[in-house]
Formats: sequence, structure tokens, C-alpha cells
Amino acid sequence: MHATDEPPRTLRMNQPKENGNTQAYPGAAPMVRIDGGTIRRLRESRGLTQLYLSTVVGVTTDTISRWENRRYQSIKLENAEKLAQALEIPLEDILDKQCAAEAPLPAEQKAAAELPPRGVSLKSWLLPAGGGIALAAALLFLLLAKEPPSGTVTAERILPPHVPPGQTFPVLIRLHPAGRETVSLIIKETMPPGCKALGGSPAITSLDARENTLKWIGRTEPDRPIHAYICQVPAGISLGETLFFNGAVTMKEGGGDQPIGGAASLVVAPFHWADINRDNIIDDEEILSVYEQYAETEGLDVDQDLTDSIWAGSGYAWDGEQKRYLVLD
Amino acid sequence: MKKQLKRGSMAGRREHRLWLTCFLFLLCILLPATGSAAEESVTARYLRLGGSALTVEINVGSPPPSSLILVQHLPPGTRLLDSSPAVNNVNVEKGEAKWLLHSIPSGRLVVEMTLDRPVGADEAAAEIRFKPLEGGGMVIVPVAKP
Repeated sequence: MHATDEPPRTLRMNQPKENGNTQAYPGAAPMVRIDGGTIRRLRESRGLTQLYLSTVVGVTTDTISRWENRRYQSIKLENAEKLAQALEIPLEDILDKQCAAEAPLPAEQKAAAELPPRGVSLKSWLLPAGGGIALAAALLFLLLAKEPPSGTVTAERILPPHVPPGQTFPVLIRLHPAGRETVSLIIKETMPPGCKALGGSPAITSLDARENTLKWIGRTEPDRPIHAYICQVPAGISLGETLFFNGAVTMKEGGGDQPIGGAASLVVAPFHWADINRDNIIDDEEILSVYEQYAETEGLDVDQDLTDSIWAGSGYAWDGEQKRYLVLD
Repeated sequence: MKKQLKRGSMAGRREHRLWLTCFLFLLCILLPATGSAAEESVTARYLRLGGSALTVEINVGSPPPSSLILVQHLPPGTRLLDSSPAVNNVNVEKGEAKWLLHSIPSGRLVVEMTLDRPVGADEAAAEIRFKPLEGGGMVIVPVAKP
């Protein structure tokens, strides 16, 4: 409940709250440098998806992918702690080892240390002006460095963390074209043995049952960055098994094959694919994530009615015998 | 001596002005990158509160989020007789009703509800939950009371 005479305020779920009020941290948020390669290695070794990490940390899968793909990157300490928690390891294990050895300086002390000494007039204006120029140059470099070579396309797979035997779940492949021009490409995806593709958006160009692969042949479209399909897990698969996906994007005009990055595996478990935290409930954040993730996939049957009814009810149970979800009122 | 002091204070002022200029420069660069605009992209207020009929007005900015949830808190035991649009989830014991609104356009949305008994303005409260398009955790916006 909220106080009746308070003006409307916005609260983020992951901010500290005290008596229902948002408390801002004094000064700048502390930052740490993380080792992206280690994070990816740890995540994959634990069979976790980028979607899972993004949900736990409260960022997008794009952000997780960025963190993993750049070797060393500064992120908020708060996010690094959540990341370590999700990976079930101490924070130190994901930090850049060189920087972790240096003692962090509190923001206030750091700012004070950077203040120019009083009375030295030349330094007094050179330092801030130089700092400003250096920062602008760094920002410009970051903006330019973000852009991979024009004409190439990178792709990222988004998978739920788990799915029960015999059930369907959506697989998203998000394309990131480097330039604005359209690129002719082939997306080839190999599903785990026994899995079946039940439909795609846009429509799948070809399906090879022998190799268990599917292909889209087409061009990048700025308003359609997502290719998606519904995958069905074999009914006879055992709980606890890990399913591995792999694929590549081939560009017609050079660029070669680019492996599809992002999530590459999921675990067979008795939980609905949208129930990220495995509490047998699809809560508000999870249902909003489902709509957020799949809003761009027109014509794909992600069994939204079932997901909605689990959210609207009091939860669900997995019937292992009948291989179906029981929605609880 | 006085001249020296004056020169010193002028140099100090110039120094402050430089720091201020740098600060404003950084502010101009960094402000557009913050997510505050998205958090303000959904606002809501009660058009009618107190009694057995409540009306909530939701204003959705552009581009709209893919979906949002209106959560109406009521005194436990209060029943919802009717609502437009239809309610998705009601917990009478908890005194909570939820609407999941998806494929929403930018602009004004109105949710009307009829209760089985009058409820005081201080007994009811509501909030909007949504995920900003640029990512991040779920944002909660309280519905403003008149």
C-alpha cells in the first residue's frame, strides 16, 4: 500500500527500499571490472542461459552478452554481486584479476584525490579541461568501437533455462547487423537430438530431419531483428539432461560464417520455461518478461494462454505421468 | 595586498567556472543515456476513488511497453462485481485484483471497476508494473490519488 498523499514516484525493484521509499546511494555507484570470458565459461559450465542471468541481475540479455563478449568491462558493483550470486561463486572469481589486486578507492576519496591543488592556476584549468576532453574522446571511441565492420551480422540465441519432457518452448535468434544496409544471409540452426521444430517466425525455409537442422534464407530487415521457432523436447527424455544447440549465420557478401552466440543449452527440468526462478509460479516480473521477449515474434504460438492462466492462477504443478502442466486456481 | 587578494579571488572564481563548465558538459553527454525517460513513460491516476466504483486512468508514453499490469489493492474480503476491461486475477482474501494489459497503444487507457461495497479513499491503492523497453528490472509506478 502507498501513502495516500504522496505524489507518484517510480521505484525499481532492485533498489534498496526503506519504509516504502527509494533511498538513493550517496555519491556515484561503485564500479568493478569484470572478466567477460570467465563469466561466459562459468555460465556455460553450469548450464545456465543468458536469459536466466539477465533475469536474476535485472538487465537485458543483450547486456549479459556484452559483458561476456568484452574481456574486461566496468559494471556496477551491485550488478557484479548479483551476477556472482547467480553463478554461485564468490565475487572475486568474476573480477578482472589485475584490477582486483588493487584496493578500490571510495568515490569521495577518489574525487578528492583528483582535485587540483589550489593556487596553481595553470593546472587548475588544465586538469578539468583535459579530463573533459579525455572523457569525450573515450566516449567517442566507445561509440565507434561498438560498430563491427559494416556488412557483417552477429546473432545471439535466447533460450529459457529449462523445459519439462515433451513440452514446447520458444527459441529466439536475435540478429545484430553492423550497418544499415540489408545483408543476404542464411541462418542454420542445429537442434539437440530428438527435438522437433514446430513452426517459425518468419516461416522456416527448410527443415532437415536427418541432421535435425532448420534454415532461414533471407535478408536482414531492420524492423524484424528476431528469428524464432518453437522447439519440442522428446517426451522420453530424462529429467536433468542438458540439451545443446548450435548454429551459424552465413553472409552472402563475404563476412564468412558467424557462430550464433548467446545461450547454447538448457536443462530438462519439471518447470515451465517461463518460470525462471523455479518456484512453480509465474510471477508478475516473469509474465512481463515473456511479453517483452516475445512481442516481436508475430505468428509464433508460444502457448501464451497457458502462461497467462498460470500467472492468473496460484501456480502450477508438473504432472510427470501425463507430461502436462496442472494449473492451480 | 588587497590587489593580491582580489587577483586570488578572481582566479578562484575562474577555477570554479571551469569546473562548472566541465560538469555541465559531462551532464549533457551522460543525461541522454539514463533510463529516467522510460520510467516516466507510464503514469496513472485515479479519476474516481471512494465509494463502490473506482476508475483508474493510465497514460502510456511512446513507444509503449509490450505489456503492463495494474494491481489494485482493496480491503481484504472486498469483491469485484464488474470491471472493464475484465480482470485477470482476483484474490479476495488478500484484497488484490490484477489486470494484465498487453499489445497496448500509446495514449490513455481507462480501467473501471465496481465493488460489492463502498471503499474509502484511504483504504484503496493501486500501482502499475511494467518493464521498460530499454531493459532493466520491473518498474512500479503508484497510481496517484486525487
